[in-house]
Amino acid sequence: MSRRTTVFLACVGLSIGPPRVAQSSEPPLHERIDRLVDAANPGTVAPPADDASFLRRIYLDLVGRIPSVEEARRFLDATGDDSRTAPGSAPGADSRRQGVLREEGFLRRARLIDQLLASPEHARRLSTWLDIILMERRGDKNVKTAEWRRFLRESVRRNQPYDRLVGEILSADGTGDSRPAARFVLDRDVEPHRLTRDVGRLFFGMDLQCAQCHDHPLIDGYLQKDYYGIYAFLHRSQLFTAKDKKTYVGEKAIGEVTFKSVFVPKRTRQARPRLPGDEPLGEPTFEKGKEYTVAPAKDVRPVPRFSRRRLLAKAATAGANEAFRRNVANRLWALMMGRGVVEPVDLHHEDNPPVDPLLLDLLADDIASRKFDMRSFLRQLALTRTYRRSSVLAPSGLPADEVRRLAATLEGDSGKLTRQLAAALDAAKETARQRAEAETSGGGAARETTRARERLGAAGPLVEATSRAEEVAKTMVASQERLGRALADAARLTREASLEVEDVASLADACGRLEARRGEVEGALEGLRQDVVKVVADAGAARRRRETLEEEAAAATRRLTAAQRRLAALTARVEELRSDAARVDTELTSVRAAVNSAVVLEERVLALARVAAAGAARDLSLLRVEQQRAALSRTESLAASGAGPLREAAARDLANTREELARQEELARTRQEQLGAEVAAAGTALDELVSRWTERFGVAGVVPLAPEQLAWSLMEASGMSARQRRASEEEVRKKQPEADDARVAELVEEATHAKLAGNVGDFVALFGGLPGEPPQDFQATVQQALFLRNGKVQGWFRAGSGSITDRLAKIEDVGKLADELYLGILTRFPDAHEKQLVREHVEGVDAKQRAALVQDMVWALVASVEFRFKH
Amino acid sequence: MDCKYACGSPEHSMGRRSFLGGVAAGLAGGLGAAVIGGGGLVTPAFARHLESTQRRVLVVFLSGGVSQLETWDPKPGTDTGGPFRAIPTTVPGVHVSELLPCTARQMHHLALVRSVNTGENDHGKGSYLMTRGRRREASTEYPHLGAVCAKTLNPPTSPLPGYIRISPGGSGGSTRDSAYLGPKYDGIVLGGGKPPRDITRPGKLGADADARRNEFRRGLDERFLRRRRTAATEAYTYSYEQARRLMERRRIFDTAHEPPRDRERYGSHDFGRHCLLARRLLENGVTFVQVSHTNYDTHFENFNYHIEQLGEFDRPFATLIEDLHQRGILQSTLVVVMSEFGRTPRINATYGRDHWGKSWSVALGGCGIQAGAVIGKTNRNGTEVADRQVDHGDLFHTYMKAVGVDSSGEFEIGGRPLPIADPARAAIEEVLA
Repeated sequence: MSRRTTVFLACVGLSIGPPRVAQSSEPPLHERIDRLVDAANPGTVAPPADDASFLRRIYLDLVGRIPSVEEARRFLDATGDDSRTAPGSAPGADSRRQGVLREEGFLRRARLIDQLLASPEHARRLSTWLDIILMERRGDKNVKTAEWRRFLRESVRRNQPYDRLVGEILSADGTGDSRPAARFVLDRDVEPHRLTRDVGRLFFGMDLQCAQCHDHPLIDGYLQKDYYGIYAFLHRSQLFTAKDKKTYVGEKAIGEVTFKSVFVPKRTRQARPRLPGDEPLGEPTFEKGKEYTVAPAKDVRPVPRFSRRRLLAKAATAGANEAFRRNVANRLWALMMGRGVVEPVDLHHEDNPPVDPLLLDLLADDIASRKFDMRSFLRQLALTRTYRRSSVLAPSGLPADEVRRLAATLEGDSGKLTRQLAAALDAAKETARQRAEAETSGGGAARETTRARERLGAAGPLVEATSRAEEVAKTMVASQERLGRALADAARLTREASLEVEDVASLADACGRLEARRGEVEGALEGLRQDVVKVVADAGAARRRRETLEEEAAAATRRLTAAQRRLAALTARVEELRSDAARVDTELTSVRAAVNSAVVLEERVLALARVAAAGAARDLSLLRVEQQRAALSRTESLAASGAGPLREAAARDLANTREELARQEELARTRQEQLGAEVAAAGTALDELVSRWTERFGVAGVVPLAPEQLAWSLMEASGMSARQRRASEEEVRKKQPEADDARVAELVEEATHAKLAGNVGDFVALFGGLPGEPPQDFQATVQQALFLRNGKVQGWFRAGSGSITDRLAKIEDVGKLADELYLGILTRFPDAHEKQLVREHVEGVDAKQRAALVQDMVWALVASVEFRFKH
Repeated sequence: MDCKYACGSPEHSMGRRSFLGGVAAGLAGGLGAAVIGGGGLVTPAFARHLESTQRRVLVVFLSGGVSQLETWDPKPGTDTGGPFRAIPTTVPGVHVSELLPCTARQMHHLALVRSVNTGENDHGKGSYLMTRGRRREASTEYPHLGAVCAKTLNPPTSPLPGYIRISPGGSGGSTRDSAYLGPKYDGIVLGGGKPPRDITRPGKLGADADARRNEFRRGLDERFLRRRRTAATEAYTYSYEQARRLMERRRIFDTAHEPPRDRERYGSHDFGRHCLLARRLLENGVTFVQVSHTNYDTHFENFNYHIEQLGEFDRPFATLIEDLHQRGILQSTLVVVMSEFGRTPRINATYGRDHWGKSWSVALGGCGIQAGAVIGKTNRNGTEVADRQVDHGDLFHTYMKAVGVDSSGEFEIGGRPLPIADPARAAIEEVLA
């Protein structure tokens, strides 16, 4: 590379630098992950997995196989753990170390993780994982697969940063030391479209294939210019076959990319080298004729002074490209957790967001700031609580009695609620009956006022009864829902309790969770309650309007009464005045008469007034009295003449009120139904969200083993691997007595792998994806099942072959036999029920039969779902 | 040159007579029922089978590139025609090479497309595009027709594999050509016509013991799955069940259970045995069967080789067509006779013909195909397509449409829509019934 180019690339490196530098004071990644996940937890997380489940999982993930019986015992039997709490103490009573809350067994697990990560088997496992991702099980072509695998293993072994590894792979041209690394490019025939698709998918998590001919039809963010941005890095490279028939990567120094959409064929666009989401990159320019270090010619591999492929290697891997960071963080997360934060892992885009975006940001920034150190990153993931969750959501068991008691209580609740419901219905019926009565009872016009009052009086209780009914109905809905969930929980608990009755410790947990669930339900119903309160308030307003009317009617009546009273008083006063005004006696009498007849009152009063006005001897006081009386009389007259309309108005109001009430009731009912539906819909949506979250973070996934994991686990279970390791170690120690333990471990792994790797091929062919195809959703085929039922694996477990079957058949004690059987194959001890099954299977038979029966059980265990999947 | 064929054997005509009688009886009874060979009436189970909507596909692949001039598109008396005559067939006006005398009598069940131009002269690429309906592309691998049929036509609960390939030799295993459809739709290879690998219980394991250990396995699974059931675990446990049911039916892979007379009719050579096996498999409900016959790559002595090869092909193939018809399953079984390409009209210096993708023929028949149709033609001496040129893409659409699959549809794989057939091509409507 010319000096000028080097300087230029250095500038590229400087200008884009790493994204965020982790602060040393920050807690370790695994704690930050736990915090983020806990903060997002919608309430459904599985309890921590037990030691045995953790053990199996961590072996499968970090060394690609189940542990041997000895390894399993070593971990499970370990006691005196520094962070272990006494048996029986509640989980969560953790020891505090350096101010950090740590769970039981944390350090013991951390030690195992470190030990596995440092083992030669881990280098094998992680490099195999990289190989499958990068080459997708392609067969041998231009570069020997074995060389490539060795290259990857060496890279993992010395913990080469991932971005440097990718840089090496992308810039290799197949000459000299770069030959193995060049397999990625060479075995794709340096075909730029194939490379563009695979570089986009594998390093940037974006399958841009559908954006080759036009912007992606379904994904808004995948543009044709993104595709050609990557393509522009690669299209100058080509397969070069040397005279000796060996292939290399040649690269031209010239040629620009133009493209057009099939939908807009008239517009031709140019593409500069550009990473997804970034700006186009600059390039140095050279004088014409000086673009090449080695100019193209016949049988000469062209080498440009400035390589666009190297530009890609450099730009992609500097840590500055977000898509690159996110891709590797997400893939490593998926390796450990079974599912990516974004899934599918090669379809990162806006409409397929990470289930937890903050988490993916955290992971992506962290891996960049730890300089793409995969080993320490994996260590952090393995230490998280998320990694350690059980694959079973529910508590691991409740004593049957407790569950029955719980169920009885819940059923009692149900009875109480049913009775409440019946009472509420009775009340509603009574109200309806009263209303019907009120409506049918008619009366004469004379009784109308009284009736009006009565009806108004009846309206009060009616409203009350209605709102009471609403209240009860509301309680009913909430209670029924709660009851439904509680009963479902109880049913589940009952099922589970019958599964594992011995796990009493988790009872408190389970009860707590059940209670929490109820609290949660009540919380969720708060919204519903508020809505109902509003409806009740509306009904209250109607009631208040009715009360106002009632008050008005009462006031009118009161005014009438008062008027009558004052009229009577005045009459008395007039009697008193009679002695003073003898001349108006007769008139007063007639006024009195008029007072008795409200209809003529006014006329009389006016006449009286006329007389009074005409009377010379009338004194002022009398005049005032008369004036007052006239006013009062008008009032009374008005009152009297108004009584009819008032009655009518009252009747109208009552009718309106009744209508209003009915409408309100109807409204309340409709609203309640709507609310019910809304609550159900919101519940479903919440359930979906919760189940997605739960699936990714709340519970360990049930993930099928890769073919390699399956093959090595079967060899481990059969005892073949352990046997081979012992033989290899003996040989290594004999041949190289001076080698230290680490070196011996490496040599033993090497030798054991060499001996047994031949067994893996069948599994890859039968269980693996098709060469060059992206990984598929799990498919189980009938050929696989035939292979496991009848194929060569049978021989690995056959009695008389030194297999696990032979070892087990010698064990007299059936309980011990069951322990060894389960520990050797499923990496756990059997429970009482399982021991009983083993007992029933082998008891009372002779030695020869016993071997055959043991072999049956061994096969059943390795063929089980529990063996075939990681969980 | 003269060819001797034994098509007029007594068994043969007997089968035909009883067939005709059977049909007459069926019609007299007011039943449109089909008849099983040998004159037996339809069994109830078989009738149900016929009523079912299952469609099947039989591909006969003539490996190496069969000559169109010695088969479906003879040009006697021209500079390219070679020494053989054209003979009339059961379809008036349609002639085929005299090397196919038995097939000529089944022509009323078949149709010919004589205007195929794939422009591909490479064995690998030609075989690929003819079975995939598309050219090989750098960035996408396409699934084999058999995998597509297994995916679109095979009932999901069928215990039988959806796609079986009978290969002339080899040890069996998986076809591994289902591309993005996944291994579930890969074919099972019956190498040399042998049953699938691992279909029989291992040596000492008795039926009882096998049942017992599977019982134990199911018990374990039940407990484990009570709280951890997923689609994947279901698929896994179901595959054992499928394997068991397939093991129970392993006799369908063994032609020894066919009557000796039938074995005689098909012949004792590989291709004859494989055709009989194909009949047995299709009859038992396998969705897609491919039988290969090798080898037609006749750069030298084209004519002698074709006498030999077609002499082996003609009788069992014609017998198979006739039997499928007699057993009433031809109407639901698409038959395709294809090759990776045809052979040059020009005869080379060693009396051979070379690779030729520019103007050649494919024969079709059965389900969805208009019997007796002849689509397209080549020029006088066969060097060019003269009318209705079609290619592998059009043919692929035609196959799918013939068996009732909307070939303009898409597969949805991992969020990506992938067209079932090349969207730029279309079915040959004239050949469809």
